[in-house]
Amino acid sequence: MLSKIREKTQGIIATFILALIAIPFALWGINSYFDAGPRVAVAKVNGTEISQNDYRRALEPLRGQLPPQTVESAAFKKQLVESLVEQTLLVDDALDQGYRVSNARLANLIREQEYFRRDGQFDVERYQALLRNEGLTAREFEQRLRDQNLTGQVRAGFSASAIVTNEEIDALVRLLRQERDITYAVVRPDSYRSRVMVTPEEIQAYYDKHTDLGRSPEQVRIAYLTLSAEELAKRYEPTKAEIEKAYDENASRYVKPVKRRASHILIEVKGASEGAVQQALSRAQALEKQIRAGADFSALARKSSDDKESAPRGGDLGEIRPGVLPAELEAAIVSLKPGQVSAPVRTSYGYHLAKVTALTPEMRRPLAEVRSELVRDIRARKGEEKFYELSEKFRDIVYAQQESLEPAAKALGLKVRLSDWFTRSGGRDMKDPRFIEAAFQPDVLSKVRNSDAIELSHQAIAAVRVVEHRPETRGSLAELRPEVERRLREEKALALAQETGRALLKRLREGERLEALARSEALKLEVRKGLTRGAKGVEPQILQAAFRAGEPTDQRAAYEGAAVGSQGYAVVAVTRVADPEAGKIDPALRERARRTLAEQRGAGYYEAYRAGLRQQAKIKIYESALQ
Amino acid sequence: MSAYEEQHDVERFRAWWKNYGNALLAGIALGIALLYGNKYWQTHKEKERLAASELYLEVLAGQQQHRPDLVRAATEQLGKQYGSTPYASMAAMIAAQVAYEAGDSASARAQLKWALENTRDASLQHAARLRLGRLHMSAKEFDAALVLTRQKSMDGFAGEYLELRGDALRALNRLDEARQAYREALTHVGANNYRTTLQMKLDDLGPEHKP
Repeated sequence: MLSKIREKTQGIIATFILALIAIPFALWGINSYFDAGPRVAVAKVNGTEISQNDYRRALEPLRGQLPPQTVESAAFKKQLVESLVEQTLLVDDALDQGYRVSNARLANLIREQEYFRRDGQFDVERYQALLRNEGLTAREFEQRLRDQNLTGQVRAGFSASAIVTNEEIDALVRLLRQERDITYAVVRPDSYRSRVMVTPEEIQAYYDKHTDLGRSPEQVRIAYLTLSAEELAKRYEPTKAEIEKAYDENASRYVKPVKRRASHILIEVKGASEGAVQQALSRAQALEKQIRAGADFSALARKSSDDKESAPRGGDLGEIRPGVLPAELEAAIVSLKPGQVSAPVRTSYGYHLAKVTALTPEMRRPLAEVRSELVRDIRARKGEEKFYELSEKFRDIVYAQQESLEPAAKALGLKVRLSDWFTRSGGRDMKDPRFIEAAFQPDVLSKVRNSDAIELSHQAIAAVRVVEHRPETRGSLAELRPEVERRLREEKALALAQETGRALLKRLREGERLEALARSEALKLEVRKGLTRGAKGVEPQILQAAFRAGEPTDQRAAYEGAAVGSQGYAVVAVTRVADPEAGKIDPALRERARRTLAEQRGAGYYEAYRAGLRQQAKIKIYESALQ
Repeated sequence: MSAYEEQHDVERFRAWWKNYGNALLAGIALGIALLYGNKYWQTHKEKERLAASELYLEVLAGQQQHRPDLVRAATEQLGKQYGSTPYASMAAMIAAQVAYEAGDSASARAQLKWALENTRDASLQHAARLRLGRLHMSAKEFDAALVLTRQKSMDGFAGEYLELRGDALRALNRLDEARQAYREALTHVGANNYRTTLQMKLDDLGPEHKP
């Protein structure tokens, strides 16, 4: 290899190549060649990757807030990635254009946040604690805030620069407040029902075409068997011995140990000689004598103790925790009654006189009081143990004896239960999608075998067996004939009513009058006055027709027609149109109109900008990487 | 490898160095100079952007505090010193709004035109053009507004352009064309408030053929 390189270095091209390799090495180090660690991207936006990590960080907090069937659904995850893509597009474009957020500005933004403050001042510890709570590093949080502020600058630009002219407001207010008087009549299908003919061929054709009509979906009833730690726990009856054993084992929960507070006087042994020891002992004995004669222990401790730390407190050592004091001293203290003073005790420090100043005796909740608690714990534990012991057996029997659930029930002392009929979307007493899915597995559905064991939780499993199956059915033409005929008749009558209505509208526009037509066609006229576009109490289709009819002249009304669902066809005559008077317009309404327009001409433009970015972007989403 | 061979190699290297050594060194020096030059230029640009962003925030604050003087001063400075940053045009857009609200329509137009000519962002160009169109409408310059709606690419702003066209045509009493413009506008918007507004404008023109 080396010799090969040397041969090639003779060429000027090779020199050039070497220089090309060497310069980046020198400038950026070897890392730039080997930096691409194994990362799986969830999406790629114009060359920017959105990493699995970014995606998890966005998903994790939602897992706690939303129900799992939402968060874990593929559609939701896709939507989440879409929003990350959107965010990436906005940030990248803002940076590309040259928008920036300075570090000083970012620091200000953080310091101004109310929730990072304590007593009105920014508090670094609070800041860090809150971020930790959210599972964020300061870097990540600051990056988010920076991105948010960056895209905010663009959004604010589009929104805040919206211009709404007075003319536009006037035009919108005029449309919103215009009033119209109308007279209308509805040509209804009722009177045409008896006039229409329905042929057998039409009935056959309708039946063939509308395959959903008269259909009842596939249904099953199942037998099912559940094994759960909870059920097993309820069945277990703990023995007296077990309860007593549990009581002893859990002493720490029911027993508060004895508490002692003690004081001491220390006489140090100064030097290692026999004489020094003897001298210390005799001093200690002298002090003991004084105390026994009635001298105050704490006063003596203050005066004579060599333990400089406890002496000022009258020798007080506080509450004695096991294993803290030298063993000999602790043993002496434990053997004392409250108020009693020990004989001199030898430790590695010297001689001690100890006194117990306070004693709180051991507190023990009696067994009778905690019995139900203990029983519950034992049951829970036994239930779990039993569950792990039996679940393997459950799986085996359900699998091996696949023609029935009874063997498993018998072997494990369980009871097979029966469900009501249900479909693929569930039923009255069957809502659990895991049971439904298991029941509709092909060879479970055909009653060939039991389902596999279904994992309900980590402490409950179940198995199902289909006992009855009703395939999807459709009523015969003979059964459905009356219904089909009724529908066809209705359709035809409605079509006829609409046709008649349209013909009437044409005649009205050609010069006839609505009153005269209504009389000859036996239609009922309705009158409404002062309708605005938002008026209530009139069918919306009729209201819309009234406002697209144009304006009447002095001699003639303006006419318009509208299909009103299954009710028929309305012919509408507009007799008066009144624009709002300029002086009488509510300023609040003008303001509302201005806001509506500003929203469209501002935030609306920002939306268009976003949509534009999306349209021009190269976006790839790797759906298989979404977990 | 024998001593002779090594000696041979060294000599060959010397000869090679004599021929190409200077070129190589010059190349490396040029490369380094370019790198640092570029780095310096980027740093300079970055400083400009950061300074411009501060001024832009002043413009936004000035608008919120109803201080047209602050808005004007900061916008002017952005235009003169930081015209290459996106902030200059965005600030001009805001200054136009502030000027219009203060009753200075001429200055509003000037700002919008400046933004239109200087921004590189297509969306901002559309926004500036449409707002300019609205100012034309307001001054009864309907033909001028109509001209602005003749755009080859309207991106996501098609609904707005067509609405403006409809409004201008209606004002010019060219009702059939106005109707056509509103109808086309409706094909570009989703089900929202804006759709309702467009539908109202279309309905208000009445039916196609009057008897």
